[in-house]
Amino acid sequence: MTLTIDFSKVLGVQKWTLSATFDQPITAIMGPSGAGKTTLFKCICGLLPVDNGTIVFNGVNWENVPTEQRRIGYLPQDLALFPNLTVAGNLGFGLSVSHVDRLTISQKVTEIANYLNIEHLLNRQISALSGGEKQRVAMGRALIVNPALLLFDEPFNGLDEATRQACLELVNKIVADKNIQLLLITHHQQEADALTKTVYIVENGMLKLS
Amino acid sequence: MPIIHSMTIATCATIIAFFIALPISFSLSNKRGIYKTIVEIVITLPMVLPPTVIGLVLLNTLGRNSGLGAFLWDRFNFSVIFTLTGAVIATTIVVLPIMYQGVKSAFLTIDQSLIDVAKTLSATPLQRFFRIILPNCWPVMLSGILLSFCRALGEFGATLMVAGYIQNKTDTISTSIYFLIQDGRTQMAVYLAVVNLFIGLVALLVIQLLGKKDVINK
Repeated sequence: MTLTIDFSKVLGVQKWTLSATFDQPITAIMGPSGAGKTTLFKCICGLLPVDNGTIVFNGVNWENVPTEQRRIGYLPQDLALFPNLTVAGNLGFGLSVSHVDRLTISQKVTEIANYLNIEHLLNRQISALSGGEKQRVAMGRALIVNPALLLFDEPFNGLDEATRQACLELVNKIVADKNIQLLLITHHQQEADALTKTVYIVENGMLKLS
Repeated sequence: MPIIHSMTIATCATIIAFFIALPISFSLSNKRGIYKTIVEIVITLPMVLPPTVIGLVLLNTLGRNSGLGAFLWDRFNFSVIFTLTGAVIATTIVVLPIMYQGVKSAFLTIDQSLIDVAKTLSATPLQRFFRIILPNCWPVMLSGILLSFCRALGEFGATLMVAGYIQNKTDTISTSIYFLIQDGRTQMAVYLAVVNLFIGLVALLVIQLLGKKDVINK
């Protein structure tokens, strides 16, 4: 799996020129706050347009591929779990909007919940979950639709050390088991080192291999 | 009768204003520019005008001497002046700014990342609207709807100008109170005022409860 980005974008007063090929299972992206890491993810998702250039995933140019068809599992910084839905509702959302039948949704939700050890939370409201539980639900919601690419934006922020460690192990397991490529934004070198040797730095509108 | 008329007018005007405000507010929620500014000024204008001015505009637009009013009368033998329909139209215009602001505020409470994630999960615009946006901003929206309803219930100036005060036909709580006081029937006026006060208090209580529920959920 290869994601190649080669595009430019004007962000505020700075012109941003990003060019990189991500071909490792896990790539960490680091950089100071405001450097544009989240914007990079939004461009890859198609949530923000690029000014010039291309984003190519596995040989497919995504220029005319809408967000809905890119098969990306995106975890924003705040996880964005749907507060009006239960854990099961959140997990099954991606399937239900694709008109998958209820029985299949129920089976897949149970399957992913077992995989992430959150089967006991299925009927809970999102507001009743701890930070670590929310991480797992958000990962499950992204994984259930079989994405080809995962984009995690500082997913372990605000977690205690033990939960963070457990989540890091889980991420490694997911990438190995599901054969998915993961790009992860982090501020912690330790976190990046625990997951990958491929670390990119976003700085001064450029993307450099560390 | 005035209570039934007031409730009917307020309910109809609130529903109509909601269905006007909802699509306009949603379509403009992420937009900027002169087009949005013009639309918002037009919708908000009734808020800064005395209701009697709105009534005057409607009389000149829908009255039998106006082009539209004359057309309705000649073609369908129908006039909205001195009818409940006219009162509903007048009240809708008066409450539209409040409804628009309420619905707009509700949309502003939605975290963009919820919509972004729903998009990456292949949700269509309609699915995003009905399954994520609307359920998550509903308590705030309901507050706007209730406030609009209360304002509609108390509407006086524009309603009196367009629908007049015809007993058992177009009399509302607020117009009845005015004319009952003029007739010296204070006791009946107080009774209607208490009913109006009670409905307003219940609506405000519900708004407070919705606010608390929203805070607890977050």
